[in-house]
Formats: sequence, structure tokens, C-alpha cells
Amino acid sequence: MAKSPSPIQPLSLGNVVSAAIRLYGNHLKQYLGIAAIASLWLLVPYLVVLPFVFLGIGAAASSSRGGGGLFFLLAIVLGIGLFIYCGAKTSMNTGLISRLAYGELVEQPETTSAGRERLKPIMFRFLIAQVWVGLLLFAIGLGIALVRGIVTTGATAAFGRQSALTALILFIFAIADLIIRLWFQARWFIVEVPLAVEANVTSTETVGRSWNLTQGYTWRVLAIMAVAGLITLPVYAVAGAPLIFAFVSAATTAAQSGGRLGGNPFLFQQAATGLFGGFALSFLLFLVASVFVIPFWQTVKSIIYLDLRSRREGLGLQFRDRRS
Amino acid sequence: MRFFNRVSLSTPESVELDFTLAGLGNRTYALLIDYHILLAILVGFWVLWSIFSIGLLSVLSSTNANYSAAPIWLAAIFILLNFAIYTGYFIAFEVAWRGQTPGKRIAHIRVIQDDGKPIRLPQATLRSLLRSIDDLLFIGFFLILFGKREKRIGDWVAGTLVVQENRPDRKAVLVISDAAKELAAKLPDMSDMNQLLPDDFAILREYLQRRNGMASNARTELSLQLAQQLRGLIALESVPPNTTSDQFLEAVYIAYQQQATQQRRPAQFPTTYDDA
Repeated sequence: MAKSPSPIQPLSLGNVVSAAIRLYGNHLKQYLGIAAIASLWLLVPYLVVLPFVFLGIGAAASSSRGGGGLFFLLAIVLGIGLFIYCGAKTSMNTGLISRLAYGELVEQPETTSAGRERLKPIMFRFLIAQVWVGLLLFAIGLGIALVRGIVTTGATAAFGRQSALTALILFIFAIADLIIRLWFQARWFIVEVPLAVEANVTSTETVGRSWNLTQGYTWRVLAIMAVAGLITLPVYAVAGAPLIFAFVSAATTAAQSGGRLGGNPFLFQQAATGLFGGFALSFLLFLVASVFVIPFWQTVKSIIYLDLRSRREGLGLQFRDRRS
Repeated sequence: MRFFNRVSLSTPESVELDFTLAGLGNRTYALLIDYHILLAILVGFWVLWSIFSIGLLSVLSSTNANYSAAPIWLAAIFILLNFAIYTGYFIAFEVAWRGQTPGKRIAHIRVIQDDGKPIRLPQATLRSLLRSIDDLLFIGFFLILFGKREKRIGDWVAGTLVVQENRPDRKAVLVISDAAKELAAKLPDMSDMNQLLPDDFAILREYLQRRNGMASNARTELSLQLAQQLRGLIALESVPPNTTSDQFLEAVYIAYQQQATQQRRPAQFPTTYDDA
């Protein structure tokens, strides 16, 4: 008789993703709300800085003597401050989703406000951790680019530019480049979860924790990232549908005009508005799709975190206490 | 686990079968693998077909026949064969391997009929032919995501389910140290092994299987913890000196196994009968 997966055994690859979907579905409104807040915080710096930039351009255009300087200065100062503060808010909120998801997994659920209270004091650590990971990945990327440059010049020097061997070597190195980058991204994939879930973790410690937890299981994390990424594709595809539809209808309108769309103002207007509408609708849908997708990634991270902790640290492996 | 859809089937003999549905993650993983293998097969086919067509055309050009229709025929047959390979891959594997393709085998899922029977050719064919519609606009994806029985169009029409396989217990390829084996022989006399339940044994085995993948400091800590708990459970007063916690755990594992096999041995029949 078939049994359901045993509770003490770590989850298989596909089950991690399926469980993440269910976990997200069980708390759809709650997590989506937090994701919406996180996305809105991301918009705030732009909304505040842009008016100042426009004012500056206006002042510079109207006066002859650098009148816009003050506005631009304000824009820069405000911009930097806001990017830091709002970036921290965004990171904290996405980390909050992971924290709440983890609470559900270990059957110690928490309300959104309680979770937020816990995470607000360490808000900036989330941002700093992301910055650390960003810097590390950038450095690694530089290293890879350097190696590729050397290999490219070496191969062209040795085998000539048109040689098939050169092309093959370059192709292999391009793939290796991608895989190495992804491998390192997988090592730091769950960087915000220890910070959100464990107590007394600093931003540097959480980076190291993610590195340690993923040791020996990186390919698994990579595969989970690939499967989860594939699953988000249809969501984005649906968002892009209006755009494709607009292109197709514009093409048929152009065909209608017999290839002389420019000379036919009515059809041209029809095609143009169709395209513009398609672009706008798709852009909005992409934004909405992104908000929907954020909690999914955060629940995936929580489940990976729990799975890795049980594999690497034997979390949950205790003899049943029968003396109670 | 409450995160997986379960399905309960009743066979004609009134036997209840419980299955866990495969879930979108496993099916996507299986599809990913299958499409890669399929791509490799198709690329191989394209290479072979190119060689064949070029050869055929060069042979034809050396004769004086009018072969202007040949390229069109070649193209048509090429398209047909591509479709046949794409559809046939899934049909062939799902029939031959009782509902599994290479991808599904790696993901530990299986296609079965709605009443629990293994799938046959008609169902496999229907599923495979409708795959093109399911891939269009990701209809199948959304149906699996939101459906109660996770059926895509192919599953609805063919009357099939995709379920998780019952994982056979992983072969315990455990490295047991000699010191542990020696201790295991002495343990039943030194302690009360009957206090151990099968659940405890399962946890013990789980630790022994997982320990190599664990971080070293977490492993030593957990090993000590489990050893202390276990010592309390079986009321062992003193552990022989120079026994590490890991060796102790291995010893209890072996001792429990030996004890379990001894209990299963059938009672010995008397070889003589007393008539008194």
C-alpha cells in the first residue's frame, strides 16, 4: 500500500516545490498583502525623487545660470537616503514572508504583526546582507569574466578567429560561466531566512549560514531553483499575452492597409493605439505578476531552509519522549 | 503531510488504496528531464536524417530520373517522424515501464488509471496526443495547479492520475565499526532492549543514514544527544570506556536488528514425543 512521505524524512526535490505552492495557497491573501507592501516600498524612492529631478530640469531650462543645481542636489541626497531606507523595508518584508512560512512549517504560527514587530529592529540587516551577497556575486562575476577574457584571447591566438575549435571552446566557457554564476547564487539563495527566523544573527553571520547550510546540497538547491523558475514562467506568459495579442492585431492591421500603413491615418491610429494599449496592459500585468511571484519564492526558500537544517543539522531528529 | 493532495481509491474488490498525488513540482521536474532526453533523441534523429537525405539526394542526382518531388516528400516524412518521436517517446515508456518515463522515474512519480490499475496503450496514447494542447498557453499547467485531482486535459480524457511512488526503504548501506559490533553482542545482557519501539529504531536508522551529509559540529552534538537519550531509554547503567556516541548508536542499531530477527524465528518443533 502506498504511504504518504514520511514526516521525518527530508523532502524530495519536486515535493519541496509542491509543498511551497500549497503553503502559499493556504495563506494567499496574507502573503500577497505583504508582497504588495514590499513592492510599494520599492516604488517610493522613485515617486519622491522624480519630481525633484523634473523641477531641476525645469529650473535649468528656464534660467541661464545653473538654477537647477539645488534641486538635483536635493534629488541625490533624498534618493540615497530613501533607497537605503525603502530598500531595507522591502527586504524586511520579503524576509517576513519567509519567517511566517517557516512558522507554519514547524507548527508555531505567528501573526503578521507579531512577525513584523520582531523584524523591525533588524530591518537594515536584511539590506546589508543583500548588499554583501550582491558584492560577492559581482566579484565572482568579475573573476569569471577575467578568465573568459584570457581564454578567448588565448583561443583566438592559438586557433584563429574563424576556427570551429575556438567557437567550441568559447561555447563551453559561456555555459561554464552561467553554471558557475548560478552555483554561487544557489549557495546564497536562502541568505535572508536565518536572519528572519533565528535569533541574534548579524548580516554577515547570515551570509555564512546560508553558505554552510547549502554545503554539499548545492546542486539540489539549483535544481529546485530551476523547477520553481519554470513554474513561474506561465504566470509571466499570461502577463505578456496582451502584448502578443497587440502585436498580432497590429500586424493584421498593417496587412489590411496593404503594407502602406503610413499613408492610411485611420488604420495607423488603430494599430498605434492597439500597440500602446498592449504595452501598457502587459507592463501592468508584469508588475502584478511579480507581486504574485514573490511569496512563492519566499516559501520555497523557507522550505529549503527547513529541509537543509534537517539534513545538515538533524533538526527534528529526536527520540519520542515517553515519560510524559 | 498536509501539503500534499491525497486520493483514496476503491478497487472492485472493495480494497481501499491511498495515494499521494504527484504535485506540480514533481511533474515539472519530470517534464524537465523528459524534454531534455527527448531533445537529445530528436537532435540525434535530425543528424541522422540530414545524412540520409543528403545521401539520398546525391544518389538520385546521379541517376537521370526526375526527382523534383523528392525534397517535399522528405520534408513531409521528416515532420511526421518528428511528431511520431515526440508522441511515441511518452507512449512507449509509459506503456513499457507501467506509467513511468525516465523523468518520472527520477522524480518518483507514476501514471495510473483512475481505479488504480496500471495504464495501458489507449490511455497512454490519449495522454500523449493531448500533450500538445496542454502545452499550448500552459492550459495543462493551470489545470494541474488548481484542480483537485491535479488532472490536465490529457488526464481527464484518458482517465488517469499521476501519483507519488511509494519509496522503498532506502537500502541501509551503513558503515558499522567493529567496536560497535562487539558492543552489540553484549548489549542485550547489559540493558533492557525491549524498551525500544520500532519508531525509535526508525529514528536511529535515519540518523545513521544522514550523518555523512551533516555539518560536523552539528553531527557530534546530535550524536551525543541521541546517545544520551538512548542510554536512558534502555536503562544502560554504564557505557564501556572509549566508546564514542556514534559507535554506541551503531551498536544499539545492530543489537535491535539481531533481536528482531531472533524473535521472528519460528518456534522449534520437538523432535521426539513423550507418550507419558
